[in-house]
Amino acid sequence: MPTEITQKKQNSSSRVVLNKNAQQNNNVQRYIKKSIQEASAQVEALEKDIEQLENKQ
Amino acid sequence: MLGQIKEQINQIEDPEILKQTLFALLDKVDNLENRLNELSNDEKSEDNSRLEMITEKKDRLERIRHGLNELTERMERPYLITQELLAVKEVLDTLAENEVCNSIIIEGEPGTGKTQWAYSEVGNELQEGKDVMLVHARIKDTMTAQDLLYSVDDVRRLSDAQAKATVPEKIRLEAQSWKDKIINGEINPAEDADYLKFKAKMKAVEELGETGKDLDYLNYVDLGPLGEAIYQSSKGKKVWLVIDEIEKGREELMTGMLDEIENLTFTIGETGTEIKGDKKNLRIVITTNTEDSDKIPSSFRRRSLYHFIEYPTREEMTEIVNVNFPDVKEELLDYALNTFYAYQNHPDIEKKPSTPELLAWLQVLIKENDGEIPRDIPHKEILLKHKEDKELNIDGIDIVEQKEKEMPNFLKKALEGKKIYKLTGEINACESQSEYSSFFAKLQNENINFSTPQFKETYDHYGDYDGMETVRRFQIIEPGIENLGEDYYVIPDDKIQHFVEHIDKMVEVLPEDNEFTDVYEKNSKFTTGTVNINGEDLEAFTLAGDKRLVITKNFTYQNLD
Repeated sequence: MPTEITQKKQNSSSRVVLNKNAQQNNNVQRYIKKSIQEASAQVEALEKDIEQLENKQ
Repeated sequence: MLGQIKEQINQIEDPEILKQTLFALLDKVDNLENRLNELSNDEKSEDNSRLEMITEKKDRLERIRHGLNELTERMERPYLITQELLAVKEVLDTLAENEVCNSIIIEGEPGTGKTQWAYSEVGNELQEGKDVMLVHARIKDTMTAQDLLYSVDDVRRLSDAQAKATVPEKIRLEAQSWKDKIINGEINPAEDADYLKFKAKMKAVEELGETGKDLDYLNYVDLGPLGEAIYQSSKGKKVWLVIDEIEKGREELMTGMLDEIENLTFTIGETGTEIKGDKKNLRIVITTNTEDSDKIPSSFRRRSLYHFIEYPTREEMTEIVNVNFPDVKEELLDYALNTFYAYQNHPDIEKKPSTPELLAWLQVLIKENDGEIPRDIPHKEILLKHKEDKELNIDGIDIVEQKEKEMPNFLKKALEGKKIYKLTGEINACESQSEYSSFFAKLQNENINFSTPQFKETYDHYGDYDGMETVRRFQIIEPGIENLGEDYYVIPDDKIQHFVEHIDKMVEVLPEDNEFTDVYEKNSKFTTGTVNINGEDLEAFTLAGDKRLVITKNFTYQNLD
């Protein structure tokens, strides 16, 4: 015999808002996109510095 | 090559391309690191400053790599949001804007999307055109509160000092010898008495004005994640600070940063510079895994909002998989979920697989087996991280039986001594809303944050109206009150008076001599049945390894101490 609480869990409707999913995943991607842009700018600056070091060698 | 990456970034709509771009950037970082290594190997001159420049570039590269790796991990995670969490976010924003409270503790098992929530909210604010950044601090057991705030690069500072002609020769030589000792690990710069004396002397020299300008300490301060977040918020930038898996930190870490989190102010001791953040601009998300959540001091909990993310049920997990792999064959999905839950529920498992592992495993299965069910369990290493776990036999586990058993969230918390109450479930029924409007008014007038339930119309197979369904339950959203789901709350004594009229039940831990009269379910985690108290059968639970019975009993005013 399932208890009151476990029974209720089975009957309760899905708590997850799945139609929000696509939007939320896009949000994460948007953040990642911005961070990659920043990182690539930093990498570019570093590469220039390294080139300078290499040229001075 | 970088030009190519940049072009790719601008076209990012497809997550696959995004991922490829990330990997290309990581390759580039590797390539630059190799070039730096070659430079430092070829370095023959006596000039230390060139080597130091190379080291500094390497440090910067390492930080970029760390950030990119973090992003790679975020890419792989599925994300789910509940209506309840949406409401909590709104309250957090309101409280932060009024400078009442700007931190939230998110509790849940691994893989429920605690961290991902913060990343998603930042993305959402970017979409709205806000200037927002995210600072991610992963807590380790060796960390101190100081690490989270700032550190001073004494070695670099000394080395710069000796390069300056204005520094007296004697100090310059002494600085060099201390520097060598620090680099060789001969002394601990934080504790060595002679070194500290030398530092004091340096300070005196600075104060004499001889080197003050060149030795500006602030140039040598590396802000930690908390320090960075406070600093940026003071500059008017919107910041989300994620303090991940805080339970991994020692207690000193948590109590040590309490004040900074509360007041958003810290002082760089070496210079006396005070940095004061802006509460309105900063959101602090503290995540914790359920298993060790009791390690968070109560002083911490009193100051924060709290949200519990429940582990997805099998039904929800099916939907998660379908969202990620819309074309997956039903039989393969069943096989994968059966295997996943068999490991999840295995009593001897060391490290349970969680949602990201399931998705990664399924991706390989779909690719390799063309949707067909494999005979054994291929690529166990994706699901299981521990060697012993991979050897576990799951043939005998009855999966259908297992999935129905769920441990109530309040059980562990009640045994930790927390006071737990259950609000009446009727508050979530559409037809009884008019009975609660005066209660809602009372909460509103007493300045208690809450959100009213939300409903939607439902229709049957024939398209006929089939009543209202609750899509969001009533929620109390107050610092110090913990919503455990299913209308159960941890409510401290000083707040209980606001809710007494609508508390249905309270949770009580019985003295050890009480025993079950009937047992209905027993598994590796808990046992449930009934216990007879004064002639009445009450539902009771025990946690595996703990003999004490936990019951829910009807609440009356007299029950309050």
